[in-house]
Amino acid sequence: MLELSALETGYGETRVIHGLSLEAQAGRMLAILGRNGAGKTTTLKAVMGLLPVTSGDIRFDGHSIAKTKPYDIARLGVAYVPETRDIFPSLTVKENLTLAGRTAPANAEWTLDRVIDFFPRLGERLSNGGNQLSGGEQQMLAIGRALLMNPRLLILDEPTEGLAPIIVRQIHDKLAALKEAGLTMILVEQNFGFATSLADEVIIVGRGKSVWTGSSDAIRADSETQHKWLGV
Amino acid sequence: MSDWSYWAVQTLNGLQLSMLLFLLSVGLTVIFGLLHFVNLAHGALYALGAYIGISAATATGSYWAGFAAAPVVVALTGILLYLGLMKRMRRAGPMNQVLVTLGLIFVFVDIFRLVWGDIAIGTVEPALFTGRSELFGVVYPTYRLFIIGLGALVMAVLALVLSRTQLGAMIRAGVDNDQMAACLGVNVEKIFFLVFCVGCALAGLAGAVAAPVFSAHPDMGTEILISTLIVVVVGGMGSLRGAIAGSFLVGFAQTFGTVLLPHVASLLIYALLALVLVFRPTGLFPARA
Ligand SMILES: Nc1ncnc2c1ncn2[C@@H]1O[C@H](COP(=O)(O)OP(=O)(O)O)[C@@H](O)[C@H]1O
Ligand SMILES: [Mg+2]
Repeated sequence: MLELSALETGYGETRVIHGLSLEAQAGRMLAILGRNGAGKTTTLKAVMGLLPVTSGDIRFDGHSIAKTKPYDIARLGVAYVPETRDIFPSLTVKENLTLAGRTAPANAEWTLDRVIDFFPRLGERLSNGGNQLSGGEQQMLAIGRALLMNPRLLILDEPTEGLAPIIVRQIHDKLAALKEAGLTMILVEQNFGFATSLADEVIIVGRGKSVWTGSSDAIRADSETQHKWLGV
Repeated sequence: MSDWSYWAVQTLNGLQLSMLLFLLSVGLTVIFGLLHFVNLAHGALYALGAYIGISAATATGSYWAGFAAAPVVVALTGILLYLGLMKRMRRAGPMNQVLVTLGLIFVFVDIFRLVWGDIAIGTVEPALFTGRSELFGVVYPTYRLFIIGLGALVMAVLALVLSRTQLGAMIRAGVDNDQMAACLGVNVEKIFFLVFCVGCALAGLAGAVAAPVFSAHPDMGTEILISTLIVVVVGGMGSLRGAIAGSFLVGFAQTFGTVLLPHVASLLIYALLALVLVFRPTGLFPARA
């Protein structure tokens, strides 16, 4: 569904990704692992059109989106949960959600009610400001907001970062439910156990390149690779 | 005139100036806040509005023709400027934007001289609002009450649209974080352009409304630009609340400064600016906390 081939991107003159290739298949979850600073977030930003693709290509459903603007990429059905969550502080929780859902057709799978069913916690907070939420609530809102886009591909950047273990378990169960329902996902994680218990495929990124690909089971059994590239 | 009614009249004068400053600064502040664009030519658009208002009123014999034509013509001029110049300079940095829009001021002033001459030209008030009215025992020009009412109406409409509508939520999201808004399928560019047009139209409207009171002259835009910039900085860039608060502060400081401290009145708004910058460097109500 999403294919990166020999991607090069970075910030201004600084090139961060040097020829990264990967593929996310429909109906499956791909985990992108790697040490801090390896280039995971940078890769996701390039996919969303937030960073320029200096070389290589990004294809979604076979069509290049390397030069497509973020707004059009979102319209194609790619939803993004950024590492910084990026809840709009000037909007209420409800406005944060309805903003994402405003173009959804009447028979859309994800509606405001369904997202509130999925994350009941958000239902209790609808009229709160976006800046009045705990870290866990912010993460639920960021995911709920992405779901209201009714995406075909959901991209999550470190959804468990800085969250209490009980919230991490909740997020785990929610992502497992989404996977069960057949949603295609890309998950960037530092939490090795979390990622490999959810993902089908794993790619490890080191210094802006792909250094290992395989299944979740394979990486769990490969303690040498874990040690070398993840420091687990 | 009794003491009480003297101060009441000054208060109304302060309100009237605040409303004009509001109509001007609201456009300027959202263009700063949303487009990160420093548009010093915004004052010239105000002057253009005044001239268009006068010409249209003279040609048709109706004040209201000018009232309607000024925002439309000024918005169209704004669109030309945006497409021809500003769009390309979005990422050119504030220094280049300041230089280019400063140059635009000179171009506009010369155009005003060529077309409308050096001498200030006035126009008549609408028949509906001529003369004086009595309000709580205070006698005050009716037309100026109309300016106050119009400013309050625009303020209320903008506040409602911004806080209660989907469009308002999209604008606030764009100011908070334009990249994330785009990732949620908001066409940020289109919304920014719409906001820019509305800002220009309001500057034109302010000019048309001010013309019968102050009459139009080539430098009127440059003169009000300073006060408007102070409103924007004092209020905090990009926020409606900031534009409202800043307009009232500057409008009243100017009006009462002239009355109470005539010798230092012209310095008072700079003192206000310095005071706010020392204690609240980002202004009173910045859009981005
Ligand atoms: N805004 C930026 N400007 C310049 N360099 C950056 C920026 N953000 C990240 N980098 C650099 O890019 C590299 C990859 O960062 P990132 O993609 O955030 O890593 P990861 O998400 O894998 O931890 C790092 O060396 C980092 O210092
Ligand atoms: Mg990261």
